[in-house]
Amino acid sequence: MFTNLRLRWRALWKRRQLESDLEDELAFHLAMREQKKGEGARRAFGNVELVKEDLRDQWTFRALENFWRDLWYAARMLRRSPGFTLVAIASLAIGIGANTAIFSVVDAILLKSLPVREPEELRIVVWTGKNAPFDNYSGYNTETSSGIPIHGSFPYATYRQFVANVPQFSDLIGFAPSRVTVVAGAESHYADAELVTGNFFSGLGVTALGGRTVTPGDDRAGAVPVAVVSYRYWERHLGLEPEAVGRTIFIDGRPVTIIGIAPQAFLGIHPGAAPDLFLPMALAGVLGVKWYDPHDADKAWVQIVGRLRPGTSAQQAAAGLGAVMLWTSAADPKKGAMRGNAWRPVLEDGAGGIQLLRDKATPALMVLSSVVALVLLIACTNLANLLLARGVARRREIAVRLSIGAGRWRLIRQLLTESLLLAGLGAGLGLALAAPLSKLILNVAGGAEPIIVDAYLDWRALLFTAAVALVTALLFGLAPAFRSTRVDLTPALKDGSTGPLRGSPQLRVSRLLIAGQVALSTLLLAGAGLFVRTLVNLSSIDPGFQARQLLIFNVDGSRSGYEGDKLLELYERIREKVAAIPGVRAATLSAVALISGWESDSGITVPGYPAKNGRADVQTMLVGSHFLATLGIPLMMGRDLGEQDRTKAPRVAIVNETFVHNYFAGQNPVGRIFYLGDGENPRPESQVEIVGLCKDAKYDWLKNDVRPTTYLSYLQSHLAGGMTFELRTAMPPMAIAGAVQRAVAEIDRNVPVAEMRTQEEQIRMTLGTERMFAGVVGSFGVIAALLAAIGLYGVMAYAVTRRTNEIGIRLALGAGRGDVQWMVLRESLWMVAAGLGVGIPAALALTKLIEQALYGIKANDPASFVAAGALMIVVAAIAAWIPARRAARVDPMRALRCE
Amino acid sequence: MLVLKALARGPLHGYDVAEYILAWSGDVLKVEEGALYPALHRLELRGLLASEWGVSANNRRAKYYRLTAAGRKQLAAESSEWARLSGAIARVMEA
Repeated sequence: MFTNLRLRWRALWKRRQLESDLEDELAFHLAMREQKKGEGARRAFGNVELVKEDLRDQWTFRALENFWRDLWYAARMLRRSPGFTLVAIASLAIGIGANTAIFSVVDAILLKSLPVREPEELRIVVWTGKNAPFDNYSGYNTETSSGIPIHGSFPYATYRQFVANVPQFSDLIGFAPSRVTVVAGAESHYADAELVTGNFFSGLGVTALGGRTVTPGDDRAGAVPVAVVSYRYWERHLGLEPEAVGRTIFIDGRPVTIIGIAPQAFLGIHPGAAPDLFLPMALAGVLGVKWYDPHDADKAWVQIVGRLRPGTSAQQAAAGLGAVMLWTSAADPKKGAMRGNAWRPVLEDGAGGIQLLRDKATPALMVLSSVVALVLLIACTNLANLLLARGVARRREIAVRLSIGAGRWRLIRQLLTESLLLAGLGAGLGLALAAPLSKLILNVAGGAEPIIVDAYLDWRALLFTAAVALVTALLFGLAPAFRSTRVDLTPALKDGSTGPLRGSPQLRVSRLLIAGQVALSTLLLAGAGLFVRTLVNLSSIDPGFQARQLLIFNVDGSRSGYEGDKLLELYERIREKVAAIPGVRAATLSAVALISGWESDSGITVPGYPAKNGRADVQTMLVGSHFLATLGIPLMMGRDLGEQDRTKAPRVAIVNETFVHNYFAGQNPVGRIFYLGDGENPRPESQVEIVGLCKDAKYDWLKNDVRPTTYLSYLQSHLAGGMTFELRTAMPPMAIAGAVQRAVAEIDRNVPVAEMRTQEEQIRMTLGTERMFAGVVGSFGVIAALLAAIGLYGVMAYAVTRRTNEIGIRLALGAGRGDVQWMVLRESLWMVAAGLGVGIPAALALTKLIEQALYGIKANDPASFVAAGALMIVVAAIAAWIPARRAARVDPMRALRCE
Repeated sequence: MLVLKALARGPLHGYDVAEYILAWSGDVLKVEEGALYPALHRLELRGLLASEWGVSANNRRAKYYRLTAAGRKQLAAESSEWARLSGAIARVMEA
């Protein structure tokens, strides 16, 4: 075997030597034979050239060399028709690029395992059940794929008991997300931190890119505070400097030493939410969320991932955890296990991390995947069509090659090589398109919070692209290759252009393909119409306030050491200072930005409201003075909140129209009161007097209906966190961004300003998914329609050329030019009509699946469908009109002389 | 097998291989000349034969083939297999 390869390899480099050796050897044989037998020798030997060819094949890599030769030939053929090549490569690049981009996103979110040691051994530990032995919970709540409600967090004490008593796991790792303020040098900013137990990195099997990771020694009371930074954080804030390790930064006002950098691919346990910093859990309650408390068994906030010991089943592990949980329930004096439905463990597959993003993103990714698959299918159909037409144009060439002895398989291989070359070139270009496209999708789809996943193009994406390219090449190349090599030699050689005219099988297949393309394009266009209308509907919703010329930004003084009255004082000083910036007309602040997806609910008691003893559920918003005036929410009665509504003053509120409509039967609410919380035995401090009535304004989402809402003064509430400032400006809002930064820094350099944006940007961000759908599906719909038009044009142009004679005869016999033009157009319109006939019912059926993503329209929205059909017809008519006009211009004399 | 056998005595060029086989078999086995060279080259590529260029008796450049170690082993294996098979056939025919 190896001798074979070695000898052939050598022969490869001594090609000429091999040729002359073969020549000499046979010549010698013949000479000897001739000497002995005379004349008949050569005949007895048979075909010398054939023998020589046989020998040559033995010595060379024939298949490979043929492939090279085919490739060169293919390249030459493609260069000869640059128009065709350009269209082919461009459409393939778009199709393949889009598929690769979506694949890399799907792979990162749905398929990829965490970049840790043996990810399949990991199990996420969560719990289900109603009665857990604690009162306070902070964490996520979701459902398993089988619909069991699950909760992600445990008290730290329970985590310790698991570690001590559940030997089925080799490692039980705890972690909790938090947010911190970092001051590094002259810069200050907010950062996402993950509090992690000491075995986090060693248990996952993640080693530091530089420095070292957090160890159990760091996760101990009294240890020196340390942090591991993520690669992204290192890149953004520490300039990728290796000296960053060992540097001291200030986190929430305390010095913390950076001890290491996490590897680039490691983005934590939550796909989509990548922490900037990893801090030892011993710092919980000291840094970041103050509420976290390792010593309070009544607070659940630790999330757990475990590594199963090899040979241990998930059932055994769950039993171990369950025993501990049952015991903690029984030991709990308040609610024992006796009450039933006590909490119990659920183990979720942890190879991909915690899959909150998966649930959120799956529907969108499904839509996108099908759209890009459709686009690629259309591109393939188009190419198959163009290749068919080319195959017919090359009939003569192929007939000549067949008649001088080329095998049909050989020719098919040759033609497929051409397809492969096209697909390869398209895939290459597509890869270049894929990277920016996937980034775009992630940025837009995430809305306010960008999705950070490891979606760069790795070998998996490359493999996917190669596979897609191969399949596409076969898809669009196979049928044309077979068809164009099935040539009836004699007529083809006599004259390339005659032969049966109308019912030629080539044309019939082409027509079918065109109709298919039209159907697919219509489907995409109809979908695009629905998404665009949804976006338009959402964008034209009146939010109830003036979103233009409003600058907003976040400040959280509680992370820089401000508490209680000091915190309120800080916010008031900031408000006064930024209000004084030239160009600022008014300034206010609120607990969250409007249209941010966030909202706050409260139970209140409205005296006199008959239902449920006056209990009512309302949305509450803590705001600063002049909130209504600054936001531009019209005041109907009473007054806006002002500086007089301070901490010690009587508590006051503004309510919206819906509130009044629901709870006061539309009567004047000013001067009336309600109680925050339970009103059975109302305490005087929870009494709130209504001082104003305003028009309805949207709160959390544009698409949500306005609910009863009350605006309360933030100075009169127990405020502990950050606020969003809103500035009404007299100029483009971002123009004063710098002045705002300076103003806040002058008050306290350690208080960072975050997420500076305009209110309009804020609204746009919440429409991310809708914008992405409209943009992606819309642009692909247009591309698909264009491809269909190109295909139609190609087929009709070809048909007209073939029918020049017939048209000439018709014209000579007295047919009008209009008649001829109409004849061609009619044929095209039949194809389009057939395509629409299939495409529209298919679209009607399929768009039902996306009904949930629509707003303000039904999935069978007639306008979208009519527009899609009309657009398709117009585009197709233009594409068909060019060849139709050419047909009408045929000069009968010349056409007939050609014969 | 016949080719290997012909070369067992020493290096030969292709023409002589055909001639030897013809002569030894008493003009019974006439090697198809068109098939001889492909066979020789196949054996060479399998490593059973080696070749070198030499000068023939009549002073012409000719390619000489000789058995390699692997070729000898193969010949031994094939001739014993042949002996077994032909013996069996002979016994059947005699019965």
